[in-house]
Amino acid sequence: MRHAVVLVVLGLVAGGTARGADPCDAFDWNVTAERTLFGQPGRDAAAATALTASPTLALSTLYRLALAPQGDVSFVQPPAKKTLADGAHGGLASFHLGAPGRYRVSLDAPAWIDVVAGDAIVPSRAFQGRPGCAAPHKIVEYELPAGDAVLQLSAAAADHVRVTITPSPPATM
Amino acid sequence: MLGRSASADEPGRAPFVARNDPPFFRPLGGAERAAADLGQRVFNTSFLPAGTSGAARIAGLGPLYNAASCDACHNDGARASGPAGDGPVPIALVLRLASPTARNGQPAGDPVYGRTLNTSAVDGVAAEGQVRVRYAAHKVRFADGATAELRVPTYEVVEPSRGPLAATTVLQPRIAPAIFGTGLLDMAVAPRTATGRFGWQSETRSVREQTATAFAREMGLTTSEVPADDRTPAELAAGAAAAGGAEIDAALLAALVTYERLLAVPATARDAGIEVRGNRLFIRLGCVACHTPSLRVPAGALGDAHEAHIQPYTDLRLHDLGEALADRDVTGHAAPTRFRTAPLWGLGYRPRPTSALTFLHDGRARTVTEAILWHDGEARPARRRFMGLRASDRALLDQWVLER
Repeated sequence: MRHAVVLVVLGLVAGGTARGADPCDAFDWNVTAERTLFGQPGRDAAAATALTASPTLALSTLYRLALAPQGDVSFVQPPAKKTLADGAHGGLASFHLGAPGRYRVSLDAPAWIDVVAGDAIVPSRAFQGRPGCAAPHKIVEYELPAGDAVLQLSAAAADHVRVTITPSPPATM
Repeated sequence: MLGRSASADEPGRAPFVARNDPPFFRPLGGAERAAADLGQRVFNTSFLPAGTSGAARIAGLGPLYNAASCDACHNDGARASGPAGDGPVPIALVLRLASPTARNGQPAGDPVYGRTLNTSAVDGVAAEGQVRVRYAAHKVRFADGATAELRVPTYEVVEPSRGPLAATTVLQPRIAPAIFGTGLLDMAVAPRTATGRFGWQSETRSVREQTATAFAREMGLTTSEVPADDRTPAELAAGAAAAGGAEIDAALLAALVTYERLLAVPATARDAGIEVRGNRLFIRLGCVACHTPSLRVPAGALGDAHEAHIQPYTDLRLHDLGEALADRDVTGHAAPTRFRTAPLWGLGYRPRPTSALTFLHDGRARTVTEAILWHDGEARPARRRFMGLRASDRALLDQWVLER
């Protein structure tokens, strides 16, 4: 049996970005739409601390969303991922889907994403994250019904995040 | 019609209903429940670099690290998936580094990079390097003429930022194992190896030690248990000073360990027909020589007054699995490598329907069959018997293993 082989590629001694491939090119999915959106400046919006004040996000649009200290947010449902609230930020935003199907929520930084539809958190179908990439950093895919839904963000280290909601591209045969 | 049974009645098992909220293997009282809840929050939290405003208890990440949270690699307590194909390895596949010489009974690391190649760093600091993998196909032929394809990995350290690794450094790619069930293994009555019981090579002695070691080497977080991160003297001389004192306080570490130790193993549905025949095959092939079905836990371990038997399918001992699975040094030479028998319980658990299942210490095997075909050394006789099975029995054994 052939053996595993190890190669060591010697490179620059000085620090700095690696000469290796761009981590943003390493997503396994077709993320052309998301990568294009994250190349744009984005619209400013403020995530709400209560649902009644939440902004409505349009699909396939990049937003630079201001977040609040997580302790100030009244979540529709408790975040599905329990974390320490130290230094964390979060917020709420609404969006509307004209048709059921697969949709993605993409962020430029680590944070926990919940999508609430019909008063229940929708389990994610799949996710991808790429360390070293911020355009986007993380993509979570959901099977969602048509109608109104709430985007809950929590456990964000920074007080802002860039986000976009996109329909998943059709699966290639 | 064959019926289905469930393993939920086995000690230490529970149905996994809410993926983000894995269950415990016994009921918890008030104080213990609070500790486990806090521990779960610690497990899920992304830690932040020292000096981050408002970070309070979660400051201290890095300066060198691989992941910012336990959950990033051990997602909801489950085993990570190996690489899907060629390219950068996932963060949950950590490249450990070992010197061929031991220090205090433990292998030392690379003289410059330490025991772990840290692939991320805080702002202003260079990560130690990146890891890529390429797979070559290797066909194996069964006695009945059918073939299977194995992925033979080639690991590549891309641009080590502080110069080359030492030629004798052994590279040890390791995928994040499941956390569930580790508390039960910690309590199991079985001979302890000279070094320990946890980790792919039994390098740590307890869940607490394993956790603190991972904090230090893979997240750059110090604790009273492991008060130094993975930076070598060379790296400390060139960069930021070592943290003074424990960055993770004792209460958070204790809560985290409490949470981890209480996690149940996923209950699985089992086909009654496969159950009996698969068990017979497992014994006939000789797999039980290392994958011991049952271990005893003492009275009180499961919350009642009786001792019990758990079904992890491991003897918790180290075994030589042959040169093909052995680690290599930087020049490609095989290093003596023994692996702790991996538990088989929960092997088929998929956190999501789309989760890929991979097997072995670096996730190279995509099926149970592939994993068996990689077994050599002490396991060679069992592998040979497996290769002599007809296809239907191979498939049956595959399914049986996934239902442990």
